[in-house]
Amino acid sequence: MSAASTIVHPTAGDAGSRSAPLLQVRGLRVEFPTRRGTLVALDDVTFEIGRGETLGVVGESGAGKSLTGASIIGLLEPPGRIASGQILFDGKRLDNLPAEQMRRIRGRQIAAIFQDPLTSLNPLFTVGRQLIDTICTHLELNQAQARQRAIELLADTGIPAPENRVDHYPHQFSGGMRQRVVIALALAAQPRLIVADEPTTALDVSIQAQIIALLKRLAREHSTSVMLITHDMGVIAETADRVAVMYAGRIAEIGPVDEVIHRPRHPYTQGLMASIPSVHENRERLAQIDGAMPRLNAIPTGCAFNPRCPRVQARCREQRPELREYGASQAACWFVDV
Amino acid sequence: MRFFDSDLWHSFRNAPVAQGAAVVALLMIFASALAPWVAPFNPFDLATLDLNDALAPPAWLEAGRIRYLLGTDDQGRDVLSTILYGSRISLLVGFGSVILATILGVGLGLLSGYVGGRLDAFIMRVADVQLSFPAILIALLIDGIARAVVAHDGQDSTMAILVLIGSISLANWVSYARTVRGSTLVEKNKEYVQAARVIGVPRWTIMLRHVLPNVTGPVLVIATINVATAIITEATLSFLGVGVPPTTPSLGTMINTGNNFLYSGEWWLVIFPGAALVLLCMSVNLLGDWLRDALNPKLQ
Amino acid sequence: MLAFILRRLLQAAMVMLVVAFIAFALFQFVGDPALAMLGQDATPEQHQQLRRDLGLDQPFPVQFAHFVANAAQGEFGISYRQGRNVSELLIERFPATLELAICAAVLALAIGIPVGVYTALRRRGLLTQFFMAMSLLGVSLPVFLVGILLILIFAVALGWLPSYGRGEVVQIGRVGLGLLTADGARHLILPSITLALFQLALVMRMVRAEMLEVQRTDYIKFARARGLSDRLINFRYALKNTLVPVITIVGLQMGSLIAFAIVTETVFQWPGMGLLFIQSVQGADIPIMAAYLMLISLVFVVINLTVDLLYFAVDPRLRVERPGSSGH
Repeated sequence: MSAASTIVHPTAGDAGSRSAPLLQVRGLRVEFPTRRGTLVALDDVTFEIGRGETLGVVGESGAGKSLTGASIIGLLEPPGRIASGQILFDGKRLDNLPAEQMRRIRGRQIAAIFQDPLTSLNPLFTVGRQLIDTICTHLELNQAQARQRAIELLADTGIPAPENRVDHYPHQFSGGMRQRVVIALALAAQPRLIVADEPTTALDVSIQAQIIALLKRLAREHSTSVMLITHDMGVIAETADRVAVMYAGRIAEIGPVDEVIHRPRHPYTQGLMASIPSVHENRERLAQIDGAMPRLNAIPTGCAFNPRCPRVQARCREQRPELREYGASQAACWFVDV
Repeated sequence: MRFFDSDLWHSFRNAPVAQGAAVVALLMIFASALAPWVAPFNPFDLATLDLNDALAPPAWLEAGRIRYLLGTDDQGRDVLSTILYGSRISLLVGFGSVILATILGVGLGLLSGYVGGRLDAFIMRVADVQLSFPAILIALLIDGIARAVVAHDGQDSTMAILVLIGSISLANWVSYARTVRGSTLVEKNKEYVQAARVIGVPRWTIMLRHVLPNVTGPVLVIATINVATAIITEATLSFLGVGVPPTTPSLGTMINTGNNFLYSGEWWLVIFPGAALVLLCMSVNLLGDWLRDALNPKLQ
Repeated sequence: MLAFILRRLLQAAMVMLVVAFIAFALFQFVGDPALAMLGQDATPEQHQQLRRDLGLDQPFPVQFAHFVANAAQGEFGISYRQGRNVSELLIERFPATLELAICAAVLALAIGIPVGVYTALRRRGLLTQFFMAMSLLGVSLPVFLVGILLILIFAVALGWLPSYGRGEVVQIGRVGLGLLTADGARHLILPSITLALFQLALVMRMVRAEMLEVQRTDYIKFARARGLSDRLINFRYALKNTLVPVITIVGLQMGSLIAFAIVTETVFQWPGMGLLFIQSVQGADIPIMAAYLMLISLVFVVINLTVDLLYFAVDPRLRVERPGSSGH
């Protein structure tokens, strides 16, 4: 049918069981050395993403969601650095790969899309040029074949008249169309994992739904795993299989979407869920969590959430909780009432 | 002593280049400002000049004398002293024109940004047109016109200095105006300004008290770099013979005069004033570079 | 697009008019036009007669119109000092300045752009630091000092290159080109370097700064995220994004080259328009000043217009098309 079906994927390194996770992050710690001491932006972050699974990563601004994504794809900006921990893709370590090897993985195995489609596309080059360059970098196609594939990609992401549009410049597309182009670019080499950092935040609400639906369909069709980073719980509910809630550089809770949304364990997650207004309820005031997420240079000892927690006890201020199992989810709290 | 806690001071302490530049610049400024007391001779006191001492080479060469450390010129004037006095004039014109340009530029920028409308359009149109011409050309032109109009033959040094300050500042006001206008437009739309207007605070007060402080950073950077360009512009104009006259020479005039002796081998008449000029400008430029990086919010 | 060109042409015409007005004012209030036409040796009767003939007793706007009409035909009268027709003088000297300016421009761009790109890509190398130091020197050294130093080293001390004048010139019609002869080329070397140095340093720093900015953009980040090679990112994408804004500024800098030619020509006694202009400022020779002013303005206006058109051609966002309205 298309060039897509003739592309052979490199087989998974270890032909283990189908359920072996595609991505494993273990104890990831990211630090920023500054003039006034070292800031810890990610502290002992551990999670997995299975094949074909969509993991939502949710949290307030500054919680470390984007940094996690950047670390995975190897684009952590200096002076930030991975201080300890491991990132494994298909069982092989990514975090200590030399630059050239990591470059080959980017785009081909792991792709990323960012928030603002306007600034993600180079304004001086046609959409086709940017697509063809990406395709030719990773796949053994000549210019004509690459162009054909580019047109197919545009069609796949729902852009009408792709054979014309392929020669257009980014500014000739509307916002939603641009994000489709961005998605096409990310999928150009058929990656197995997409890190989507706030893909709908910059779009109109009406278009958000379309883009989310597009992502879902494409992920399903190509069995692509997705790490969906967002602060919008609604998008997560719509799209993700599992969700991780991040707070102050740590994971507060992680589990199946249904569980986390309807049976949140961690007090922070409970606060988040409670603060989402619902059409079905009848409330006088919006619930909110008092206080604010601590800045990187002022993270409390023990549990990072303890100053704001309604159930705080002495132990919370001294010992930092690890992720423990509570039913189908894991939460980092000493006092979860099951 | 809040300044010493600030990021600016911190950045300064970690920038040895900026520190060195500051030291050099300050040293030269002080030395030339205090020239009447620091210089070994007064080169303009005709009574002390002895033509027998003319064209003496620097002290470390044969035929040089210790009392004339850097040599003498064709009228027996000590080069070192002349450099100190000359730097004074260069600095006077440099700082004078920058101060004037700042006042003019900031004033026009504030006015243009705050009042808006046709006044704004007019001022910006003038600025745009002026920007497409190099500053040196404008300074030259204004200088030439002033000479013809005021009918001075270039021998009156006070008049020459005033004309120089005027023409260089008129050539340079544009960058200040544009920057300040930009900031003014940003501040104008902020809520605290609108609140102040609602209360009835007069426009001038709003502009001076609220907008101005927000603008000092970029203006300071422009001004610092402008000092160097102003000094160079003055030196160039003097070198071309349309700046400060040779009777009370600036560094540029000295180089002009010294140029005539290049082929006969009295190189010190050009090299030392040149070195002084370069040292001064480079240190000011370095300071300006550091200041710009230190105040740049994007690099924090 | 047509509307854009027309608008710019109109602007250009306005600027020329304003400049013409200043030049005209120069004549009126500072010089005597009748004197300009006749030269200094006219008798009082001839003077008065010419004043009436020239309509100097007519209202201001009429005189201005005459002035503009004359100027458009290149008629500026006679130089006070040299007694020759001003436009002839200018035409005689123009090629020399043009030759110098073009050589300097080529030098500045041919060295400045590559070095700028290099220092942006290798941010912390030793060579980079050297180039940055040199560029600092380049913007801190006044043009005339560079010229003098070069003369001191290469002409006086080493005797390798000539220190003044233009050398041999090949005449093509009315235009003399020094570049075509070995002697002329040797004479060109030092002045070109002198004129180019400041521009070179400026271009270098600008290219570097712009390239560093471009490397921080989202689209470059996205390109990296797609695994594109460094060569592709730096030399196809980032370079083009860098050069587009640089073009405008470089184009405008060409104008200042012509201005700084004044200084260079003075140092090297290069027989160009700049030297002529300086002599006219020193001697209050108003006709030459006015004519030079108008000519320079014309050159600047043409350069600005060309740069605008260039920008139009290179940046697709400026072309007429609007964002596609074919749905979301």
